[in-house]
Amino acid sequence: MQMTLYDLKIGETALVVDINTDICLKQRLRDIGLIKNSKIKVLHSSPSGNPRAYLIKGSVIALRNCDAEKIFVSECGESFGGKN
Amino acid sequence: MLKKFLFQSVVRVSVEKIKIALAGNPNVGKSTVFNALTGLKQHTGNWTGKTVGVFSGEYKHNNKIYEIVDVPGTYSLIPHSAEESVARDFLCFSESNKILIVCDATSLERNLYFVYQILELNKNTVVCVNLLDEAKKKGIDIDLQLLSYELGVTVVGTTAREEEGIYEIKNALEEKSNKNTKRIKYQNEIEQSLEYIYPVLFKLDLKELDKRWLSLRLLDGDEDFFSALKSYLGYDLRENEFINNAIKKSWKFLNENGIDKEEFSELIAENLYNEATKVSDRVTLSKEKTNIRKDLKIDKFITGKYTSYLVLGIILFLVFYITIVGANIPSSLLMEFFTNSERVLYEFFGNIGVSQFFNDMFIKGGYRVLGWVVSVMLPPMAIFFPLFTILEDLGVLPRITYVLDSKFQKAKTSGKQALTICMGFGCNCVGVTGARIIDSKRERLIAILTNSFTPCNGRFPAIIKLISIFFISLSSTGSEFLSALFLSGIIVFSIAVTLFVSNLLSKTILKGEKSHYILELPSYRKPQITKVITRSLLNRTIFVLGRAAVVAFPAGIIIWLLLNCGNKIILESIISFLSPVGAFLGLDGEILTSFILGIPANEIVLPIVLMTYSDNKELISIESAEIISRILIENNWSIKTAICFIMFSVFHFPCATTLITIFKETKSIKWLLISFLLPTALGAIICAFLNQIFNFFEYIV
Repeated sequence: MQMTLYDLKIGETALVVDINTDICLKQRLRDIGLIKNSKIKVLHSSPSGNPRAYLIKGSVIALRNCDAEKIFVSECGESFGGKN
Repeated sequence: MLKKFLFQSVVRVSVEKIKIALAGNPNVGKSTVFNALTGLKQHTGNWTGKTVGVFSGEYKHNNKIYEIVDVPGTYSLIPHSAEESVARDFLCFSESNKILIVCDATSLERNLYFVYQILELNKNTVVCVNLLDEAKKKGIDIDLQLLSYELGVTVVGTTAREEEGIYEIKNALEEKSNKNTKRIKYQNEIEQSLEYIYPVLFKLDLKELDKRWLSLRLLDGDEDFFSALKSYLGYDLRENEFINNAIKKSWKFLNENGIDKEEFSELIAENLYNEATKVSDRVTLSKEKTNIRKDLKIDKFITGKYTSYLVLGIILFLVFYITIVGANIPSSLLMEFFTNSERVLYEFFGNIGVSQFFNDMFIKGGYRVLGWVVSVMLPPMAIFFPLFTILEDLGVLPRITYVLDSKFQKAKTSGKQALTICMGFGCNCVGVTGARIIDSKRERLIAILTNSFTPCNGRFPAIIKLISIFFISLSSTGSEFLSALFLSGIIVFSIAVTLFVSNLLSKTILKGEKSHYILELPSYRKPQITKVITRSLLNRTIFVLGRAAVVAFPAGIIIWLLLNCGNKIILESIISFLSPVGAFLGLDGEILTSFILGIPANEIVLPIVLMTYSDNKELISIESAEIISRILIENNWSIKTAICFIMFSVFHFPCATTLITIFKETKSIKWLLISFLLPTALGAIICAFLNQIFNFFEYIV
């Protein structure tokens, strides 16, 4: 089964393969730099575990888990954004 | 002759004014640049979408006047919310002479994506790379000259909070236009598809629109774009047969190459990002690509699983504690000042022959209420506001919404509602206007309707007073501590009710599912404490004084007239009419009457209560909390009355200004009525319920 952003654990980095959301959210994500082939790292989660914060193109962006579930990723070994 | 001369000079000045649109992503310090350029007192924030509406200011440079317009922060030219539409319309469809784009040096790549979109408009553009100090701290160094070469426009580096580079911006904006703006070259299929449309556009009057940009947008624009385009041009481009054919041909070609509309937009974004990444990599010299380790360390604490709620509680408590402690002394000093000055003014006007009637009306009516409002309301506001601004500038507020978002998800609303609640603490009108940052119309309406549940700055000074009179013995040590604790409790309750009602609305009249939610957590920034304090102190003082003059003074006169004319018949008949309702709600007729008379501004409700209680025809002068407490107790106030008053103060119809704002924002009588009735009904239910409980216990005892 395809892995989604929601499946990633905190600290993991992945490559965005497909964004399967409605057009509106897709545009939003595009604006903040989340497009196909971009790298994304899970930074931390809010106390309830939803939403979580991600590192996208140098900025910290919070996404709700229901949205993260629609973003498909593939593993990429390397990490970015310094240690942590 | 003179007239002609004057007229001409006026015309000349307005012609020379150079209009500049200030654009950029949110959180890049755009408003700081704006302030540094214009010196205009406008508050700058550290959260997405602080600039609601469009602010403008002016500055003079080398004998030319520049008008600079602060466009709402946005990530792209495709709008998703009402606020971003304002930005799009302003950047694409208005005749500004130049555009100044502010970028964040610490995340240049994403910022360049927006820069490239703006450059496509082919307007006169200057790029400002801001936050150079922050970048330096993070080990990022940017080659501005190379960036300028890559983009083909003037690039200025700034640290706007230190006012570094501002003079250079002014010089850059003065220079003649840049001729060699670099254009993005898209992949072949897209470039070829444009060939069908581009030549046709030459036959049309497109005002100042760039033809290449328009060709692209004719292919990927949505209905919203076309309607904005239509209102700019004055005609519908798509009704033109040639254009229509061209677009069709273009799509036929694209479809043959396996590109549909969605794919097209995606490819455009990908192409722009590729260029942005390439250029940003080339001009950024840094040890590490990104360095957010320090932010993450603070995040661990502020948004951590076990610590976040504790931190939230402490922040809330501290804000109110400092407000209450700090307000005590200035408040009593102001009271003394107004009491003394009132005597002096009364004597003075008496001496110069003002009739007793008018002297009484203006001084013992209008001036006294004005003094009341200023001395009781101004100090807490003047302290609360800077504190709040500091939290904002620190970057703490977006984290609060991050922590609380799961609660809003359960209520099926936007996490941004938490931001509008925060704005509501300052002023409900700001909260209502601020709801523009919410994309979904349904969620935006919920945020607007529930905003008045948040006790605003105009309300909590009265609440604080009542808390300190009825729940804490005035002289005891640590009374401020307990007041702050109490107030924090009320705030938590008001937020809980907001969530509850939002959920209720989501299930009933505003049915729907939660929409998506994206929030940027900006870097923690050191707030400019002195600047914040002077700026918001000045702003607040002027605002409160202005409002006091406009609202409190006339209100004082009206109440004085009600007390003195026709033997108080009107006032007393209103009071006796409302008396049974008041009694049912644990209040009395005087209190309800005061809430109604206080509709222009919540600040004056408690003062009016005290005035209506006064039996003699003169309004009582209130010099200290002890006197207030005596008056209230003489009029049968108990702990029950105080609690019901506080509850009704939190949950009742919004003030006139907020109501007007709600109508402006929703353009609907229906929602205006609901926004009036919903909190009032809720307050009535809560008060009636509390009243029954208290009566029950009294009965038992």
